[in-house]
Amino acid sequence: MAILQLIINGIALGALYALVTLGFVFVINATGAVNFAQGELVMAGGYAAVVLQPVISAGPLILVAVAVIMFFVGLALALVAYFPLMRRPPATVFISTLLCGIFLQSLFVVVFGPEARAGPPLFSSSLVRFGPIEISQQSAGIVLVAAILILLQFVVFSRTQIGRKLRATTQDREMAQAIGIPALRMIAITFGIGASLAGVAGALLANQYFVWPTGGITLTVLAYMAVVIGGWGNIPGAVIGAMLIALFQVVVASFVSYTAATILLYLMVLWVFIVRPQGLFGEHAPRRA
Amino acid sequence: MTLHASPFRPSVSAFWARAPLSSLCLAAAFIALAAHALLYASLYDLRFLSLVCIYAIMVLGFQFIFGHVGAVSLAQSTFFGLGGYVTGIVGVEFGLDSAILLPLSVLAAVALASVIAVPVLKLEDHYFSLATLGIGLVVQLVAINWETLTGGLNGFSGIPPFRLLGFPIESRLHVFLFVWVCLIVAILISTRILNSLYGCSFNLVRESPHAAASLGIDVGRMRLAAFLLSAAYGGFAGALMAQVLRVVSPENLDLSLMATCLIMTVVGGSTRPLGAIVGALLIVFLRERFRIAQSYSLIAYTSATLAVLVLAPYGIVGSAERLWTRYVRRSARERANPGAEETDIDDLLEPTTTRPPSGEQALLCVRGVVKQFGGVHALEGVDFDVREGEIVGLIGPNGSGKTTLINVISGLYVADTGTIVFAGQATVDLPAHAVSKLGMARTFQHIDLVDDLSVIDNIAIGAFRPENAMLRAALLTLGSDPCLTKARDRAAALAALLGVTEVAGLRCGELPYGTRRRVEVARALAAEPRLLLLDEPAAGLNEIEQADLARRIKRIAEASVTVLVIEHNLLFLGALASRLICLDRGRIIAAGSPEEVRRDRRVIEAYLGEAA
Amino acid sequence: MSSADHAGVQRLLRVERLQVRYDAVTALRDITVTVGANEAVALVGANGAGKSTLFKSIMGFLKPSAGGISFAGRSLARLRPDARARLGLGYCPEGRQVFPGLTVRENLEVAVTGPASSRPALIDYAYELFPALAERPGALGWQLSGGQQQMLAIARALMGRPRLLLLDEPSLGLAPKLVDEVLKRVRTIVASGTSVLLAEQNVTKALACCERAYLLEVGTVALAGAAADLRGAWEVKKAYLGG
Repeated sequence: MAILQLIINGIALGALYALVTLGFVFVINATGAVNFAQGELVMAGGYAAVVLQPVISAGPLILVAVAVIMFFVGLALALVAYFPLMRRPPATVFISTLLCGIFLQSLFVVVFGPEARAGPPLFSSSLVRFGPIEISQQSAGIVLVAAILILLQFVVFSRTQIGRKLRATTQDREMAQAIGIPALRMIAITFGIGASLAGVAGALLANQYFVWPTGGITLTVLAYMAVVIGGWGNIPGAVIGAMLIALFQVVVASFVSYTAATILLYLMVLWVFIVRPQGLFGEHAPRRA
Repeated sequence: MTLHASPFRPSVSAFWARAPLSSLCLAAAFIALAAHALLYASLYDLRFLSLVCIYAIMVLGFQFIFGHVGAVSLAQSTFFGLGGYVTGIVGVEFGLDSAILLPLSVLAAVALASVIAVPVLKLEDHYFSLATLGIGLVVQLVAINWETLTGGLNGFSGIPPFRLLGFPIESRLHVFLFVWVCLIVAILISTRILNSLYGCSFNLVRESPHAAASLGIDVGRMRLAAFLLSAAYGGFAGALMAQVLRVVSPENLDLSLMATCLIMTVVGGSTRPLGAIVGALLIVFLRERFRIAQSYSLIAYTSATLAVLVLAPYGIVGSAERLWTRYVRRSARERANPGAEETDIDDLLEPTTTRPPSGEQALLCVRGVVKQFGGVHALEGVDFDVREGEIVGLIGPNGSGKTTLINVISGLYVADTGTIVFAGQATVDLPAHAVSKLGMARTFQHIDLVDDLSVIDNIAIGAFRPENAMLRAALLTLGSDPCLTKARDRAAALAALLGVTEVAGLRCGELPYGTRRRVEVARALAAEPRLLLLDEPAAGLNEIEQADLARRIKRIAEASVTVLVIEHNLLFLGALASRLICLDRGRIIAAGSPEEVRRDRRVIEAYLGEAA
Repeated sequence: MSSADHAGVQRLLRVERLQVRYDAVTALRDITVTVGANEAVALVGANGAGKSTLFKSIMGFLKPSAGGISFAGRSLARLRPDARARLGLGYCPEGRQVFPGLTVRENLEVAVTGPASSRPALIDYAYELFPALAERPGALGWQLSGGQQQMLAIARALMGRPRLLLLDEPSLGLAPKLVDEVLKRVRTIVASGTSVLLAEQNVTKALACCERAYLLEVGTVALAGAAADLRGAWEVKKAYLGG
């Protein structure tokens, strides 16, 4: 049953990755631009949890607080890295978010120092046994929170008016304005949501995996890869892509070294690029330029 | 087509419009650097200046792929590091001469670039960046983990110093001078490439790949060349670094170096060689200055770079150049005046007998072309021919599918079904640049000129010919690039034909709409096409400009080229076309002489609606 | 000759001496157009005459270099497009631009600016106006045919209960029968309280469903007046076909 245990672990990791990727793909859909600071936003969430630890004791409350704080960080990011550069080619936003990422990294070093920090445990770390399989409450908690958030975003985006407005804005910004949708506000909200999700992921992983200033870059690359695998802009695809990456990492790393697993992962993604560039589920419905 | 026109010699005002200012500044910078080094610099300064030169070379390479082609490659630091490791490992192991180590490192970088380029360059922008990043991370992981080869996380030291053809280069002064010479060589190569027709074409590849493809430019191959060049420069710089610092570690290829490279490029200016020097100088200076408080300084200079990105997108050098040219050119501004060109078009063209349309096989044969976009049926089975020597007008109301049809013919879209035979070759499955190479050129509804280039250079890009020959010519001949000179001469002749000689030296961005349209037509003609497709050339022109353009096109067509004009403006076509085809809702509803078609009831209905 | 402009009555839309530059061309020059409540006005002219440019300027996607636009007495200068839409301007652009990834129903729902309770009634109104839409409410925008997209785009523009609908070339690429169907709705829409400014290449059909008309040529108003008057003048204007 070892493989089953691995899969369970993979799912827990995948849940984290899925949260990071979700925020990433929202911004891509809304703006066509890649947010290269996504990983740093995750770290920021983790650091926020560290800071809140002495102040708030209840795990879920910390998550809510982090989500709210990170929402505003996302708005700030939109103001600094996106809105001034809206009319430029998307490559420019890539660079501006990259610079913001470095800015955040340096900020972390200055405020928290370069060593890794552990975040507060949001759930008890006791183990639950189901026959031969052990699941820590923490992992279960992570999967639960991620599942709730993913479900929530699904409901909001597909069944609510604000969700429809957000989707309309990503598909045709001009036309959205022409029917009365404040498009810029929608985009800012999208950045906020993306940052919130990243932040919650950071708070969730901070205890088990720690946060450190340069920890964000691998997560950004990961989200990027998940989006490519799932189909650029395809939201369910992004979640599935994230899960696949996590499962791959966990399963393969039990046979070979972590480094080799990572290299294999990158090479596999490269292979996906070549063989099926539209990803597993195809790109999102055509956007109007 | 034989033309009487004098070869192009830039007027005085145009001279200042070019960028020899940059060259003067470059030369001044080099002399200043050398002078400072020889006269004032301490040992520390010399090391500093050497680093600046090395980074400048790396940035120069990056400018090809990032600035000129416009693709965000995140592999530049990887090439840099790879060059360093190859030099380090081979140098320590075999103690070879630098004359072997340096080219070897360049070769290694270019080899890696070639291997990853093939899959990676086809990718759209967002995938391309990720792929290059992924490669970088893989190489970094290898460097950290293959300890026996690379020394692992700490790297290794003991790399021998420069030994060029047996002569050791060890003192800091000599090292600096050597690296300085390398930088000069690198800049010379860059400027030769950029001042050639080949380099000029990068601009169009970046700004408008469709227009480039329509002139026969293989955009993919240009991107590949830029990528390989960036790798070569990167590897070279890394190799130099290894023998200057005598130490190599994974820091030489990590992401923070890539970020530094990006910052230097953005701040200095991504398209001017001088920008590479300015960027490198400034950033290395700031880094050394604020070495103590590194993280604080990083905060400061990422913010500063963001500010530069927003406020001065062309970097320090780019913005300075724009200010300069605007200030200098204010006095030289001229407006095109269609009525008052120097030589009349009839005098420019040799009196040739008007070629009668040849009877045998048609030049262009379209059969059964269907094109659908989702639920919208844009073309529903189009059949027609164009014979050599004709001027055919394709008319139809808005939404009838005219532009879709021309996009299918020119290779931008692939038809769902049907065949197209051009100049005896089936072209339905050919990419746009391949179709163009067969002898087709076109203009677009939205005029796609490179705003920053002069009229002459924009037209000259149309004369683009096989890349390899051009690159070789650019690098291996002394003096100015012969391809560019020839292209500019041809451009001058075409400019005269289209009546834009007066503004030939001005930036296209400053010209009025009607003039830009004529420049675009001239550019298409520079490709010496057999078939010229014009997509709504009269749109946006007033009546005088329309009549003038029609007259010019007619004379040019009579002398040399078959023309297919899309227009809904029947007045414009009246004087021009010998035959009209009318499209409505994806089908041809009428074809024949202009008089017949204009009186055709179905055509009138399509345009005006049924008679009440 | 000049339009029947009742000096005392406030016009719903007043475009005054508008000048707009677009892509280095002066696309509109000294345009004055008005639309009153409960009327349908046609804007005819060849392609490139400036009809779409005028609509984009009214909606705020293009900034005028001279002149002004006011709606229901308010100047529109400095209002962004979404603010203008919420003021009561509906826009159905040339080329339809339905949201490709939203279903028919979602396209309609997202355009409702009123409270959620008003949505069902508005959607029913849309289905009444264009029964073909009710047949495939779950189809995605990009899957629809040209005609269906046109109907969806018009219905969507009405979901915000606009006082004025800017309808840009609805006949584009549609079969004549479909064009008739679509233009018939113009009268229904006016009857339900929304004025219509209809830009059309198809002059005859446009004049048939509107009370007044303007003829645009190369960015200026060449003729203006009651539709009946223009219908006669149209025989002369056929000369612009060159034949």
